[in-house]
Amino acid sequence: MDSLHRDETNNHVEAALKSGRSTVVRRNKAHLYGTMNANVSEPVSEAAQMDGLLVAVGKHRDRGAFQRLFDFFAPRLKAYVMRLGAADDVAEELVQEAMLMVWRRAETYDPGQARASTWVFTIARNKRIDAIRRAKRPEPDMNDPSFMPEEVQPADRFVEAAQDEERVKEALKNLPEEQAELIRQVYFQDKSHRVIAAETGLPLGTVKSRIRLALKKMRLTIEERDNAGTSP
Amino acid sequence: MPVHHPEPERLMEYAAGAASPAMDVLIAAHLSLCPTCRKTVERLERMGGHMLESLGSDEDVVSMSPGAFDALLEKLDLPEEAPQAAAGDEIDPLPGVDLPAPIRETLRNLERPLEWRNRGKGIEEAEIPLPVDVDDSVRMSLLRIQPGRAVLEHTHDGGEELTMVLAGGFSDEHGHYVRGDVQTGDDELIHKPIADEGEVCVCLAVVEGNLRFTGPVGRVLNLFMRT
Ligand SMILES: [Zn+2]
Repeated sequence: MDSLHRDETNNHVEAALKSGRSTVVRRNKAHLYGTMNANVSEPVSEAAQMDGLLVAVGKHRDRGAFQRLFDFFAPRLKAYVMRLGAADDVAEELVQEAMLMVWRRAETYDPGQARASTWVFTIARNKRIDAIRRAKRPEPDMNDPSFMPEEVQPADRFVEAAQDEERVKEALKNLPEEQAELIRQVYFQDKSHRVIAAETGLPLGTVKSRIRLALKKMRLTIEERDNAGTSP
Repeated sequence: MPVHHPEPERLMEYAAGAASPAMDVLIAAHLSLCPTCRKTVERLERMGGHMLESLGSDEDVVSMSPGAFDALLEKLDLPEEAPQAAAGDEIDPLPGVDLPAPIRETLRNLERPLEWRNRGKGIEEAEIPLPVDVDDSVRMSLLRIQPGRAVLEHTHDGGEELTMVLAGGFSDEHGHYVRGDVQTGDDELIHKPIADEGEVCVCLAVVEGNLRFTGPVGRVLNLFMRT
């Protein structure tokens, strides 16, 4: 990349970081992101900068910002799809396609709703599945006349998203190894609980209750459902 | 709003991209009608994002080949290929039933029209062919049950059956299921659903057979092979 792009990037990145989520969150509840963003003297972590960079790509088609996103995400995405079984060259191609999608869809990224890493994860997940099936992965569509919107829009999605983020991070660290391993198998090895049960010889019910326990510990399911219970 | 939801493990598999093609359709259809489960899936996707982000150390990541970024730069300005409209975009695949988009799209992409078969006792079934997947024990179909009729009592032989109501409703020993609700049946549940009086009940059913592996699975390895 030439130096012109670099300079452009720095300006845009700064602007993006200012207009992006870090400030929005600070305005709401700075402490949710810990000292990372609230304390100005400490540098913002590399991962946290990605949100602002993605905003810069969306707003300004900033190629320098895009390169930094690529440098951060492409090796991670390649590792991700390779863990899921793709050979090196196929993985490379999938990452290229996913990053091209990141470039094209960046305008629709809303830093108040999700971290850049979550947004990029969903794009890569879908690209990989589309490639395997040669068909589009089905997803709910907000513009679908049948779509049921939320009754009440939560007043503060930013805060909620940030709280979730922190909760997941903490909980994943403290999860017993047995449960953490199950979660990794589902996300990084493409194994459903049926496949895990068939491979390990554990009863399906055991695998399911371990996964459910992990989800409960991380408070990832909606509370009233945890109480109501959904299975017989 | 639905009150009977898919089990949380199902939502996690959907969010992680580990669900079967049929289960993806059913879960996506439920999500279209259920803001509660959408929120859970959103959280589960955050977990995916967090895990991706934490692949940070040198052993974890895999470098792209040199020149990968430059090759990508050349594609940035190319016009995007417009998604091709499906051939049957204007056709209503199941008249009289308000289908959530994931099911509607699936039916529109079928190569042949739905073939309804009479299963007797006021029940008809139309099988929906699925994309190739390592788990070929999964079947997906639409069910049409005449008012007041009972679906034959059955068990699931080690697998599971998820049934989502699209129109009308039915009851079993666990409750009453209406549009958007998902019933999970497994070995422990010998269910005897009876359709509501007064309206034909239409459901999407995904049945997983008994899955047995004899060795390590080459799941995606085979699916990733180029044809
Ligand atoms: Zn639900």
